[in-house]
Amino acid sequence: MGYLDKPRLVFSGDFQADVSTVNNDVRHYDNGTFEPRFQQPQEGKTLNGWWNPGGGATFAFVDCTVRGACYEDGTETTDASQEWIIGQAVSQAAGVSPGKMVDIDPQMQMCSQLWAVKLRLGTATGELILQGDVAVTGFRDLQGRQVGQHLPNRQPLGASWTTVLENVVWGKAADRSKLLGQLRSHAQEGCLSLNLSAFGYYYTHNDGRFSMGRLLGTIGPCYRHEPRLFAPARRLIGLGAAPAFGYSNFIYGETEKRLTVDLGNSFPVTDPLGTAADVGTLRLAVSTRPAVDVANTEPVLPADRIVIGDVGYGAPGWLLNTAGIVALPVPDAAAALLPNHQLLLLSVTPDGQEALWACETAQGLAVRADGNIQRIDPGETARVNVYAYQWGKPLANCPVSFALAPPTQDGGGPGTDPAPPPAPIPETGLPVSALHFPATVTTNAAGVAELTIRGDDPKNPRGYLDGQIYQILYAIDGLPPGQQYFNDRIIVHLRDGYTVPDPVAWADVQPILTQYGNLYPIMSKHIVDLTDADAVRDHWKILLFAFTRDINDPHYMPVTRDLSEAKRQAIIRWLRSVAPPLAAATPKATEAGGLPEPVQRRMDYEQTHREAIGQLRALKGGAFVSQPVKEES
Amino acid sequence: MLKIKREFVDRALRAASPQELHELLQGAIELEHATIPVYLTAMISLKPGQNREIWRVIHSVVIEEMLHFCIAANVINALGGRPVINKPGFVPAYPGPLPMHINGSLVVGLEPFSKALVKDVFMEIEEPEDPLVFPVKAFGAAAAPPTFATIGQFYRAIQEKIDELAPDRLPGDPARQVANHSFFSDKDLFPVTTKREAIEALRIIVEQGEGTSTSPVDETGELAHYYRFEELYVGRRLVVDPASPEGYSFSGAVFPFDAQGVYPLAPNTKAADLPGQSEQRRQADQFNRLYTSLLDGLHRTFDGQPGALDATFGLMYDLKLVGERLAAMEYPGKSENTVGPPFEFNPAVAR
Repeated sequence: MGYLDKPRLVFSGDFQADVSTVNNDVRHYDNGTFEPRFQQPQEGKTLNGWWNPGGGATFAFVDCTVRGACYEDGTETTDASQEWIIGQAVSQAAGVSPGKMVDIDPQMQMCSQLWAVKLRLGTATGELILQGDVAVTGFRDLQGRQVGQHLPNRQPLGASWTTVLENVVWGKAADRSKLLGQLRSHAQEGCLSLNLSAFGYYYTHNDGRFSMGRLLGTIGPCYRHEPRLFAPARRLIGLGAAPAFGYSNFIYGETEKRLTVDLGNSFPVTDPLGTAADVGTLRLAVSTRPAVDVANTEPVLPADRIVIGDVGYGAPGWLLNTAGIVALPVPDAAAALLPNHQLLLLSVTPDGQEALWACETAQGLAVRADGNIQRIDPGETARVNVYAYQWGKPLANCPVSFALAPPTQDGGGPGTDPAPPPAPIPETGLPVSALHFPATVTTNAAGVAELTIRGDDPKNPRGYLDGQIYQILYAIDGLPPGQQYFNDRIIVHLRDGYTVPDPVAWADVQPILTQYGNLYPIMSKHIVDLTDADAVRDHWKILLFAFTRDINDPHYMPVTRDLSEAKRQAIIRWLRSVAPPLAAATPKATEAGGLPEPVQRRMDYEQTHREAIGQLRALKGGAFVSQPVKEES
Repeated sequence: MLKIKREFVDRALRAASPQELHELLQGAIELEHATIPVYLTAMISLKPGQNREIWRVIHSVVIEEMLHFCIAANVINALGGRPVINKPGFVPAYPGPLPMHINGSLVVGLEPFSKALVKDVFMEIEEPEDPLVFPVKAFGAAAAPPTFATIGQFYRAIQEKIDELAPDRLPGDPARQVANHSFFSDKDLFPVTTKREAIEALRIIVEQGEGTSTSPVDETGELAHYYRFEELYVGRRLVVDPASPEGYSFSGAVFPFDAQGVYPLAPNTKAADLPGQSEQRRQADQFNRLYTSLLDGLHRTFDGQPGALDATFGLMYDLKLVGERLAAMEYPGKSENTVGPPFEFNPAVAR
């Protein structure tokens, strides 16, 4: 059930993603053809470094507050006088840097991941309510959100990050919330589920919202047997007639006859701030037919469905106050069918005609990989759990088939650029022989298929950038491809083989550091020019600090986490070799007789200079007077 | 020079238990911290890639102020006290007097770099005592007491009191001591668990800050802060000069300064002064959030979690990046200025 289960709270506000954009074009990775203008902002149609070359990849919650609560018994409230948690702030943990949002590779920018993000609920005076680590996850269900002509922010799409909060710490203030008391008892192994739906992102400098967007959040219970990085939910898929509603999660609680639909990532909005579009009457119903013909665009007849209820989205601020989660009781007649008949989203015209805008997947089938983004070095194995469901229940003994997507040439900029980078765009997905995985894995009794992926050295197929991107498609019988999210594939970044040289020379690390220096001008402008050997040597300490962080540290270098372990070790070894030799440890002040060493040296110094100092003091009354010098202009 | 209220020295001298020194040392860490935003603002105003030698000098002083902060906090913990860093009021109002200061004395603000700033503020902050009037060890001399005291006197009073009152093994829990060696040497920052260590630790603060009474260089050959700043002001390096009656003169290499290489920050920028729906305001709010988070991290570090210090280093870099981003942004409605780093504490972030 994940985040749609009860109890849960919803919050909303803004987020900031200071996306770094020099790395948006794969051709900028070629050191040999890199031009300084690739670090400059876009000029007209010439993209250069795109819209934020100086970005630092920071991801931050901004002005987010809890808006609503749903208790164990299904009752909901948005009233702060009833439920203390409403109105409290959601932000990042204090005392540590905010986290990052980065892509796995320039040739796969469709599933940006959150790294090192820690979510915190706190009071206005800063007391801790709860805090947890956001498990690394890439966004999914990227879909159209903004409708209408007005697009001041230039990005009409939205997407969701679904994940868990781990290592949850509860503050004393949490005791003041009835909702949190209930939630705490559902937090197995110190985890909670989390969903973040984002939209309204600004590429432009309009409205003072550059690099910011809207965020709808849900925090719910977490159960061991459930997937971590997506909701074990039934799926509603948008049809051609719909203005949006591309992909939506929903669950149906049979015992209490309650339907919960998340429209937070799919409801159309008319502006980047989240004003719900007026789409007329919107109705949820269950199909009476064994299978719905989604190709049929004729009106839906009353006999074809049993109405569950209409979506009440008309109240001002509905989307931000509810995170778009719609909970409805299901009347008995519909309740008899919903366990094994498709859910329908209908648009109702003023004269009562119903059109099908979204439909549950065929036969209620769903399949999704949990750890869908993998980074492996040659010889390493990744294990990915793939879950199959039917009507929201785990589907045992279901064969899941896997195949490598054909090679692509992604990651170059739009064709309208009059001065594109000259480097060739590499092909992804090759060589096929470097990645090993079975063609089919059958789900176990719990509905899970464990896929084992092994990588060999791909031997630098892409030339100027390391490793390769592979996309593994997966499918189950009976689920048409158009009813799976288009990017439901397992993304693998397989690094090139590399032997750490002994000793490591500047010539070995220079190409790696130069590439980073080219791609992240925020480094060279404000911290250290990674293309300059002397500058890198001077800053060995801070670089060693960054390269030796844990991968979940916000300052882990490289920020994109795309470096093989061997190359990282080579850099570390080189940095250690250029560090000055450690000074001999100085003995601390001891209880035994004799002065501490530092002050003893001071005494010696005094003794040596006593005569000269005495003369100086006598001359000038003890104060030093600066010699006036004509100031340089 | 910094003129702190005499009463702080008097209270130190009158203290009858180590506990009474906690509050006084709390004032000391507030003072050590209070100069840091002043110096950092000047550094942030130096355009990236320009005036780097000046930047390095101020940076070297800031690093030592941070060390003094750590040392004083360690001493509080060693004496059984608890430093408080993440509270409103810890950060002084800018512009304004520094903590513990007498009324009418030096007012400091957050301003872009200039030679006048170096002379009127930086050198005032770091100016050493007059060595004739205040010899190294003796105290409470014969002449009528001056109306103010110096920070060096204050620390020396604390040292004397510790020597007089504290047991050889200090009461604080050694596990609370911070001795991170990523960025400070173990010679400078070490666990304080004994009386001698406390006295030695405080001596480092006085020595590095004010220098010696007799020479512009300290025992390690480093120029004391005052003289590093004077080099910036004069525009030349201070070097040994046998021909000079003082033994030194500002006749060394030119200290380059490009006045065009400084962003014209609006002094004492406050986030609330920036229009609500502007990028400048959002970045300024982000700066304040990061700064408050940093103070919260420092508080936790010195309140029993020494391992939290590494994470705060990362925040310092985040702060620098946002500060430099702000410095390049035009001030809304005042095109002759850019946006200064606000350094404001936001209680909603902390704790």
